[in-house]
Amino acid sequence: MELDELKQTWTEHARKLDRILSLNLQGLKTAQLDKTQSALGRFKAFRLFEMLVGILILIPLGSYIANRFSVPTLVIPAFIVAASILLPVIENIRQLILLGQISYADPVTTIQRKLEEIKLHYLRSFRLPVLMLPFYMAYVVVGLNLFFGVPLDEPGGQPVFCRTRRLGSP
Amino acid sequence: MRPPITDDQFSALIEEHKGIIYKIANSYCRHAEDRKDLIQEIVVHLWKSHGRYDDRFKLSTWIYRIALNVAISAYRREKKRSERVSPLEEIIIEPAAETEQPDPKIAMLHRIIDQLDELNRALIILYLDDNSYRDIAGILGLTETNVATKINRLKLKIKEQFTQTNQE
Repeated sequence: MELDELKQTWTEHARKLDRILSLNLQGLKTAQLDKTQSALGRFKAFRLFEMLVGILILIPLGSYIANRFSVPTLVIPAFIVAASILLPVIENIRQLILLGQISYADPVTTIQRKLEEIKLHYLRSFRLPVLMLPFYMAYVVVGLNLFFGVPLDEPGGQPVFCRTRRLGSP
Repeated sequence: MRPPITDDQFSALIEEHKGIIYKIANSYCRHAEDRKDLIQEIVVHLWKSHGRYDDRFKLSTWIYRIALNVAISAYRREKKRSERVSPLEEIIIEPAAETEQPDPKIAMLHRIIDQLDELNRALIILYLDDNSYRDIAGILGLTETNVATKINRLKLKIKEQFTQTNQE
């Protein structure tokens, strides 16, 4: 049997389907199509949320860097933390732009290529936090100082952990 | 932008093309529960995209594109859609009766379709639905030559499968 012979069977089956398929009008009405969010919509909302959270963290972090620019031991960790937040925010923006370009009415190969590209950006946004793991102390220093107000600065502008090291040294 | 579609117009549109939606959902989801959710997701996308329907294309082309894009994306996600679509349990399109034994040829065809990748699956559905190569190329975003080549390959593959099955 060949595909063309099967086409005949398929056509007959399609005719039969048209007869037996019933549209549940009540179901269609109660499905609240306007309010139902697609999987892509949820993904978009989550990316938007992540981006806003990132921006909300970057604002105080920027001000923190500006205020302590003369203290490299605090500014360098703050820069590291800022970079680890800024890059995923940029990735989020890219993903949101790509998501905005997605229209399921476009040809299949075009949409599937765009969706794969978004998936790649999404995976890339996870790569950075993993790469930043060796710098975890930067998060501790900046996090304690900026968000919990732990005074890491001494009057002379040197962080506490530097002073401790000096006390221990001969 | 087109004027918003009324509920009745939308119901008529779905009624007219329910066969396309069901066949695509059935080809990408063999499990009844997943199929129900996929149909719902396709209908949601059709509803939301209607304002952006481009008159230059046939309505069936637009429906095929949306249904195939949603089905392929859902197929790739490989998760239970019931958690993602909506908590509603409404079945939008369903066979009125499934009392008859399925046609063995159709069952065999479904087995063949199940073995194909997402794009070839779309290609075979469109071919079996008697779309022209030009329409298939427009729906999938391929050239007509590419469509013809791929269909010829599929024909050979299917012929081989039948020969093997008969020999066994």
